[in-house]
Amino acid sequence: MELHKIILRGLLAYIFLLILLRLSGKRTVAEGTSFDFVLALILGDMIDDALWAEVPFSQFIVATSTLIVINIAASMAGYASKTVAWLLEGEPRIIMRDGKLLRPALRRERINEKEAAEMMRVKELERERWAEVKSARVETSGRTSVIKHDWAKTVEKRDLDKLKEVKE
Amino acid sequence: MFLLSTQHCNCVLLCRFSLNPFIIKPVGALIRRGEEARYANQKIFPTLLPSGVTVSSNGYANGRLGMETQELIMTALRALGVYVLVLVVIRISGKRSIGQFTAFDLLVALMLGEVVDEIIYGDVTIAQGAVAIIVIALAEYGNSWLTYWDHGFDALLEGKPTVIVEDGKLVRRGMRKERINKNEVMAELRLNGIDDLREVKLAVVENDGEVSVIKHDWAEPAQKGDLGGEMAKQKRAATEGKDEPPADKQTTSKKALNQEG
Repeated sequence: MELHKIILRGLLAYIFLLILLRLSGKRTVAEGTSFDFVLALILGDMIDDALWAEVPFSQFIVATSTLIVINIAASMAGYASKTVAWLLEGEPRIIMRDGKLLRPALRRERINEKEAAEMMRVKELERERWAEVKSARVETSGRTSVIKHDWAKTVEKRDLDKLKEVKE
Repeated sequence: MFLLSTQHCNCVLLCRFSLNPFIIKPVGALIRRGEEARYANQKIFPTLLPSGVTVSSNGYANGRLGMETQELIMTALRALGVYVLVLVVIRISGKRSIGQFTAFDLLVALMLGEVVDEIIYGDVTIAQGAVAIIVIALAEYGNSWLTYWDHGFDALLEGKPTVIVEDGKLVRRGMRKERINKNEVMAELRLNGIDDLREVKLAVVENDGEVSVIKHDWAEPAQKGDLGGEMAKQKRAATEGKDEPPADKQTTSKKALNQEG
């Protein structure tokens, strides 16, 4: 076994991937979407074949750079065209309006009622407080965003003047 | 046994009868995987020999041994195909972020990642790879509907949320179930900006492992509707003047959380 070759290949693969990822920008694999995650897994799996020399190094370089270049191209196309963006990441979907769950939307996202309650609970909204919600969405990143009615928003400093008016 | 051209036939037989099989570098693997092929692959594919490469009597190939440009182009094309396939699989799985992953989804993602690199390197044919990916995709799609339909399958796959704090008191049974001790509960509450257990109306370990904390009404930040005036009227209208809905309608009820007794 030629150990020094493994060291060399390991270092080369590491540096190559590092450069490639830095070139491709922050949002390539760090966005937390499931696709980026799987892409990172694939890139990681491709290293080990190159490390044990099961594939020639040139093939490793071509394969990884193709994946990353396509990914950059896809995100650029998504930036330029709304249709491509929709194909790549879908669209935000409103799942609650005025405190009521929108069942067709939930069905399309395959979120059942229990899971919806769970998502709201994580946002500190138990069912008795759903009336506070103006709209809730599942964003393309998979996170839940909640917009509350004006009366349910937390008090800001500028509201304290109104408090004085009411008292007077 | 092998259908070989006469030109290669002798050497292949010599290879197979050699006393030390590990010395012999398999011709097919040599061409496909570069000089340092690890496997003593018994199958030999003379059709894969690039032009100008001959096989000597000791089983080594002579000639140009590096990757052919054509093979590198094929690698890039396979990577492109795999990229599109994986994108489709993830879009139909309906899980947008790893935040939505259950433990099992994570496993599926790992599986997908492992399968795919063999395809890109050409270790398996594109047809085999596509079949494998499509099977994984269909299983994931079916699974997402099964969990949606809420007939107990989701509880089996994803588990049930566990109450660990209720009305300012630790729930030992739930804590035991999640193997989370008092210090860890307090740490979770601190992450939510709470250092007084009494403020907590309910803390639940959700299926994805996240802890959601609901405070008592008196510990919530004041809302614009609490200050009186027009906003207060709107708040009363929306909540119908009631502070709380009936117990069985509350997310905090045992029934809604699927907890037994």
